[in-house]
Amino acid sequence: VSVRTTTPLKVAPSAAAGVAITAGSAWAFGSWVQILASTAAPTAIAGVQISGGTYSAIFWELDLGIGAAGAESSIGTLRLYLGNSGSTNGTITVLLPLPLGGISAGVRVAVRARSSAGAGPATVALQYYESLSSDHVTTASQVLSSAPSGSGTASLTPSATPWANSAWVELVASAAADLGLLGVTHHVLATTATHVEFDLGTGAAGSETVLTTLRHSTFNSNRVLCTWLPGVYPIAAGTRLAIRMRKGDTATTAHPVALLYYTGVSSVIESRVSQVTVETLSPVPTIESRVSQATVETLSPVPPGPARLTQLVVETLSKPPLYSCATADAGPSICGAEPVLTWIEQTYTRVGSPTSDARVVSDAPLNHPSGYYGGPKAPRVLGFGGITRALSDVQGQWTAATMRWREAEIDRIVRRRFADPATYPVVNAVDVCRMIRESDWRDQGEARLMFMGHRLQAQPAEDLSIEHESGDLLARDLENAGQELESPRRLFSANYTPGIPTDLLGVPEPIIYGRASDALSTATPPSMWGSTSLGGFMTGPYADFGWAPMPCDCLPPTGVSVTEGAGGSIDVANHPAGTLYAIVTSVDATGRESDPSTYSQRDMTAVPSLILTGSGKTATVTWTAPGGTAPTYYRAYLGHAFSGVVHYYQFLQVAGGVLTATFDNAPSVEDVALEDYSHLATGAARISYGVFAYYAAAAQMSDGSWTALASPMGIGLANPYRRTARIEFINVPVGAVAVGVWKFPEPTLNRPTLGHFVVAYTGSPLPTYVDDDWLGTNQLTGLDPPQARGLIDLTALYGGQELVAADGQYWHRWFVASHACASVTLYLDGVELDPTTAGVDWLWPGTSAYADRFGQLYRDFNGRRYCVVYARGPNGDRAASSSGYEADAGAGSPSSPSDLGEAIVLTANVEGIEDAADGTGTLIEDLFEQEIHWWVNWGPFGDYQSGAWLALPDWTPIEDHCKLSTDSWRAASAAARTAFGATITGAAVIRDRASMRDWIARWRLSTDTRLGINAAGQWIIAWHDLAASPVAGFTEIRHVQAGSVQLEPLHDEHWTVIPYRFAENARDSTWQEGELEDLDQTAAYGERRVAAVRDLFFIRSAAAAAFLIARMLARHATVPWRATFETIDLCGTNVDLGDVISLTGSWGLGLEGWVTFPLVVERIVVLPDVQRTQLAARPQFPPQTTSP
Amino acid sequence: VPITLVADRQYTAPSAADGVSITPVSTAWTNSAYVTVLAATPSACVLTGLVVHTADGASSTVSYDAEIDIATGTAGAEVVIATFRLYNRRIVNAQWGPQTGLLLPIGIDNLAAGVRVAARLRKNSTSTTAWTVAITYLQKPLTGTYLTTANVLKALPPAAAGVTVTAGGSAWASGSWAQLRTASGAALVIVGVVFGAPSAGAEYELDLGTGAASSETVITTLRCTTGTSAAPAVVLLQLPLDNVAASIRLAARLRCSTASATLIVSLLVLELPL
Repeated sequence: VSVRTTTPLKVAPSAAAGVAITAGSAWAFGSWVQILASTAAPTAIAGVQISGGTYSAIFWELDLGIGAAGAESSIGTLRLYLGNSGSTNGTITVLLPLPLGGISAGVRVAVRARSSAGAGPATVALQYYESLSSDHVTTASQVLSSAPSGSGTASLTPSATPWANSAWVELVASAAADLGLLGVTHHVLATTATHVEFDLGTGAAGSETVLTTLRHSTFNSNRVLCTWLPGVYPIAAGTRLAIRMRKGDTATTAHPVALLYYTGVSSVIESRVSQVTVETLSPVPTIESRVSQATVETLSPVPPGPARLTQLVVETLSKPPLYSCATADAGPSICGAEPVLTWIEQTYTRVGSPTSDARVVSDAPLNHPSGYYGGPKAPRVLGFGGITRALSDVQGQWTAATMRWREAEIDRIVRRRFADPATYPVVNAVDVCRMIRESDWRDQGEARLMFMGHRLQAQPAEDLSIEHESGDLLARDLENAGQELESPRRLFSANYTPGIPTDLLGVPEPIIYGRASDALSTATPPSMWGSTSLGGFMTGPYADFGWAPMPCDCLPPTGVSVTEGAGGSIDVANHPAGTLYAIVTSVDATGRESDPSTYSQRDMTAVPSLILTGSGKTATVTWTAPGGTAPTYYRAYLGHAFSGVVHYYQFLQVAGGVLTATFDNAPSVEDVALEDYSHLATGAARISYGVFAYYAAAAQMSDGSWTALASPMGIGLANPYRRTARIEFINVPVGAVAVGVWKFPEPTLNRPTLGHFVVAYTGSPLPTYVDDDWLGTNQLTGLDPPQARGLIDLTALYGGQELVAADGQYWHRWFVASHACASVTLYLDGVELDPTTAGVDWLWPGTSAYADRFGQLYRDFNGRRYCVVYARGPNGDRAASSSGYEADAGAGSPSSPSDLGEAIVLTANVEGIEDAADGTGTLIEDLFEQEIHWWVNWGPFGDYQSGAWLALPDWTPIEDHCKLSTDSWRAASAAARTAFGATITGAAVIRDRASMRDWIARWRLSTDTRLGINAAGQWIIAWHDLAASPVAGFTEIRHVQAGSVQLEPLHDEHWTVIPYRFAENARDSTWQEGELEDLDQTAAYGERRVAAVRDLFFIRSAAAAAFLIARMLARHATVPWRATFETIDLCGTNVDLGDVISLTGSWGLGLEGWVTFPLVVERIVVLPDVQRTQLAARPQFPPQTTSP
Repeated sequence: VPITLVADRQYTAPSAADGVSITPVSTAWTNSAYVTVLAATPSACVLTGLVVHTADGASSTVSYDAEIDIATGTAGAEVVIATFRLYNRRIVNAQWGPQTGLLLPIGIDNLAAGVRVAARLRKNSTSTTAWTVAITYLQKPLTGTYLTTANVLKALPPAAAGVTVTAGGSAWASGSWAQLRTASGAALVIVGVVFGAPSAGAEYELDLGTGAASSETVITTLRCTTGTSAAPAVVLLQLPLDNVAASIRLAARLRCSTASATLIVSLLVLELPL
C-alpha cells in the first residue's frame, strides 16, 4: 500500500549512543563513519537523529554513503539548518518525507559530515526500514540533494511590514533533471513569536508564479528546522525555482534557507489511478464509492514504467438509495421456429363479494393441472389481436399498453355477466396474457409474461362472439373512478391545519425538490479578459478592444494606402501631428461588415496614414480587393489620433467594384471636442458611438447556484462599424458547469439588464468566451443577474397564528412545503434574515430555537407533515400583513400591534426533499432520483402524509415484482451523467395541480427520456443513448417479414428551432427562456421550423437545460424517420422498448440501403395469431448515418 | 512511479495573516469556543496540516497535553474532522512552546466546497493563555497521488493525559510496557507520536508494540533527542504505520541514555478502513 507501511522502523545504532561524527574544516567533509556494518535486507533510510556537539545558526550536511571502508560512495546528502546546540527545546529526529532507498542487502552504510565552520552535532543515529512494505521510497538513481549545497548560500530578507512578501530569491536557476521537492530547511526568528509563510515559485525572475506555500510557526533556538511539503512535489527539468517569505512581525533578520529534494523524480504522475470502474455485486446498489486504498505494482525493474494495480479497496460512502427495484425478468424467450402457445388469465370481480371468478382462455384446448397457470385453458379465443407497448411521444405523453382478442360466446358466459347485477363489472376484470414455447408447455415450464391489464371494453357481436380490449393495469394508478388523478393530491384543509386563513383553504400543498434557491455559490467568479490577439476591454468609446472576428462572407480589403491631394478643405493644423489614418472594410450582400484592413487602433504604426503638408487638401484612400466573395460595398474610415489611439469620425461607402474613396474634409480636434460634425467630407457619414454596454460574468456551479458577478468591463459600439464584442473569461472556478455574462447599460450594473448570455463550461480551456454581435444572437432574457433574494414567495402560504406550547407565544406561520425540508433560508424584502433573530422574532428549521420548541425539523398536524417557519413581533406582523393579516383580526393574539407599518415580503430559499423524511437526511439532487421519489410519494403510486417515505409498491399477488424499475431510471441517470459530464440535478416547486399524465410528461421533457412499460410489466424510461450498442440485429429475408417494412418521415416532428423555458422563478412565476436553432438546417430547409416551447419544469441549471435541448434538437433538426417492420417469428419479443437494434435491408435509406443501421425501439406489437412481432424504431444517430 | 507525488499547490488559512487566536478555558479538558479559521472553503479541499503557537510557558513552567479540533460547519453546528494532539512542556522561556507546522502524511479529505472551517482547543491545564492556529490545505481536484481519507484524525488516548513510560533502570535498558489501548477498538494507522515531558535532556528510543501484556511484539521504534522542554513534541511518521489490527492491545516502552527517564506518550491515529 503506497504511503502506508507495516514495516517497523529500526534504529542504528540501537539501544546505544549514536556514532561519533566530526565535520571537516569549512565545507570539507570529515571522515566516513560506519553506521551499519552490513544491511540485513534491502534497506531504506527513513531519517536521522542527532545529538550533542556545539553549533549556532549553521548549515550542516550529512553525507550518506554505501560501500566498503575507503570505497564509500555517496547516495544522498541531507542539509539541515541547525539553530542552537544549547537548546533544551524540542525533539530532534528528522524523518524524511520520502525514505532514501536503493540500498541492497549486505551493504555497509556510513556517514560523514561537513558544515560552514566545521562545527556540528557530535553523534548521529539512523532510522531505517528493512524490506520496506511501502513503495513510497526512492531508488538508487534518485539522490537526496539540496539547493544551495555546500558553501552556496541563499538568504531571504523579510519585509519590515507584517505579512508583506520579501523579494524572491533564486534557489535553482534551471533544474538539471526532474526533481521531487521535499521541503525547506531554514532559519527561524530569534526573538519574536509569529507564524511564517514561504512561497515556492517558478518562472523567470520578476515573473514568478507561486507553486505552493509552506507555513510554520517560529521556534527559537531549536536545534534543527525543516518545514516539509505535504508530499513530494514533482518539478520538471529546466524549471527555475525561487522562494520568498512573509511573516507577522517587523523583524528583518535574514533567513538563510535551502531547498531539499531528490533528483530523478519524474514529474509525470504515471501511476495515478484516475478512473476506477466499480461493479456492484450486492443486490442493493450504492450511489457513490470512494477508492481509499490502492496498490500499484511496478512491472519494470526501473521506474518509470508500466504498473499494475494489484489491490483496490473500494469503500462505500453513501447509504443505499431510498428505492431499489431491479428490472424484472418477463420469463423464458419465445424466440425460434417452435410453435408458441398463448393464453389469457381472466379474473372477474363480483359485486359485494370479496371473491372473484377466474378463468383462462386460449385459442386451443390446453389441459393443464389446476396448479399450472389457472389450470385447463378453455378453447374460446377466436383470434388474438395485437399486444401493443410503446414509449411516450415526443411531447412526453404516454399511451397505455393494450391487448385485443375475440372470444366465442356461444355459451353466453360474458353476456350472462352483463345481465347479472352481481357480475356486471366485466370491464373491471384483470387480464394477464402469457405465451410459451410448445416444448416448454409440455414440460409445464415457466411461461413468458406478455401483458397485465384491466378490461377496458367488451363488445358483444351479432355472431355470438365478443371483442375484448384490455388496457395496461399500471394506467390504473393514474386514475380513480375514471377521473385522472392529480398531483399534489394534498390540499390545505382546516381538518389538518386548523386556524389557516380561508385564502389557504383548497390550495395545493407545495412539494419542493432539490435546491429551490437563488443563493449564490461561494466560489470565486471568473475573471473577464480580452485576448491579446484581439485586444482587451477598454474604458472609452474606442472600437479596438474586446472584439471577435466579424461574421462577414467577405474578407477585408488589403493594400490600403492614403495619399494627399489638392482641392479639398483638409488642413494640416487641424489634426494632431498633421496626420490622418485610414482603414477599409468590406460589406457583404446581407450588409454584414468584415474585419477592418488593420485590426488594432492602438498600434498606430500599423494603420495606413498620411502626413499632411498644408491646407486645402484631400485624402484619397485606395485598396486592393480581397479574394473570395466579392464585397457588395466597401467602407473607408478616416480619422486622426490622440492619446495613443486612432479615432475615426467619418466613413465613405462605395460600391464593390470601386477601390478608392476621396475625403475632401475632416473634422478637426476642436470640432470633435464640440461635437461639431459639420466638416465631414462630401458624401461621408458620421461614425456614431451610440451604444455602450458593460458586461459582468458569473459562473454557474453544478448544483445550479451562481457565483457573484465579476467586476464589470465596458465595451463600445461604433455605428455602422459594428463589431462583435467578445467577452472572454478565465479562472473559471472548479466545478462550474456554465458561465453567464450579463449585459448592462451602466457600469453600476443597474437593472434591468440588456440581456444575458450563457455558455456551457466543460473545463479549461474551452469555451473561453461569449460573443455579442449586438443583433441578439444567442442573447437570452428572463434571468436576473445573480443575487440571493429568496426564490419562493411565502406570501400566499401564510397559515395564520399558532400558539406554540413550548413558549406560550402566538407565532405567525407559513407553510413552506408539505414535507420536511433539508434546509430553509429566509429573506425579508430580499435581504437574508439575520441568523441571530432565530428564537427572538423568527423560527425556522435548522436553528436551535426551532429544535428547542418543536424537537424536530418539521411539524406534524393531524397526521400531515409540513415544513413550517414562524415569526412574531413587529417584523412578523409586517410579513404577515403582506399575506392579508390584519392586526385587529387576530382575536386573542397578544402580538398584534395596532400599527403594523409597511408590509414586508417573506421569501425563502429551500433545499427540499431529503431521503430521511424528517429533515435530517441527504438532499435528493439527482433529477432521476427525484422522479422515482415523486412516483412513489406524490405521483401515481402514493399519497404521502407523514412519517417515513412510502415504499415502492409491487405487483403481488399477480406478479412478484415491483412496479417501477429503478434500474431503468438509474441507467438513464448514469448515461446522462456521462454525456453531460456531471449529475443532472433537478429543482422545482410543485404548487399547481395537474394530472399525473401531465406531470409525467413534464418529467419526460426535463429528463429528455421516454416512458414505457417493459416486457415484465414495469414502468421504465429510455434515455436516447448515443453510446449504446445494439442488443439484437435484424436482417432482410432472414429476420424481416417481406412486405412489412414501412419507412415513415415524421414531418410533424421536424424542428430546426426549439424554444424552451427552465428555472421557474417561484417568486413571480417567470421562467428563464432560451432558444436553440440549427442554422444550417434552417438554411437547408429554407424555413425556421419552430417546435412548441419545451418547458423543462424540473431544471434550474442553464447548462443542463442547454444540454438537454441540444440533444432534442440533434434528433429533430433533420426530418426524423420511423421504420416499422415485422419479424418472421416472435424473436422481436427479445428486445424491449428503448433498446438499440440494428437493421440491415435494401429498403433502407442511402445508396446501399441500411447495413447494421442502429435504431431505437419505440413500439412493440406482438401478434400471437401469426407468431410475429412488429417493431417500430427510429434512428439512433440522426440524420441517416451509422455514426454520430 | 510508485512515489506518492503531490503536484498541487498548498494553501494556508488564514493566508498571509496571523493565525487565529483561541483562548482556552480554565477547566482541564474542556473545549474552548470555536474560532473561524476559514469563512468558506473556495472549493472542496483536503486538510494537510496545522500550524500552532502559544506563549504559554513564557512566564511560568507548564507541562500539559493539548488537543486542537479542526471542524467544519456553521457556528453552533460544527463537526470535527481532525483532532491534532500536542504536548506543551516549557520551562519559563519567552520563545519556547508548541510552535510548529504539523504536516499530515495522509490528508483529511473532508472539506466540502463553501464550508466554514473552525478550530477549538482543550488541554489538561488551567492556563488561559491564547494559542494561535492556522491550517494548510490543498484544493481539489488533486492532480497528485496524495493519500487521503475522509476519516477523522484522532488522538489516543482522546481528551485525556498521555501514558507515562519509564525507561529501564540502566542506560539503554528497556522499561516496562505501558498500555496505550486495551484490546478493543478499530484497526489503526498510526500517523504521529507525541513525546511529552521528557524528564531528562537525553536520547530516547520508544518501542510501540501490540499484543497482550507480557506478549507484546514491537511494531516500530522511534528514536529522538530531546531537551527537557520537548516542545513541539510530535514526531509524524512520514510513512504511517499500518500495523495495528482491530481489537488488539497497544502499548509502549522506553529506553534512554539516562536511566529511569520518563516520557508522556500519546498518538495521532486514523481508524481503518480509510
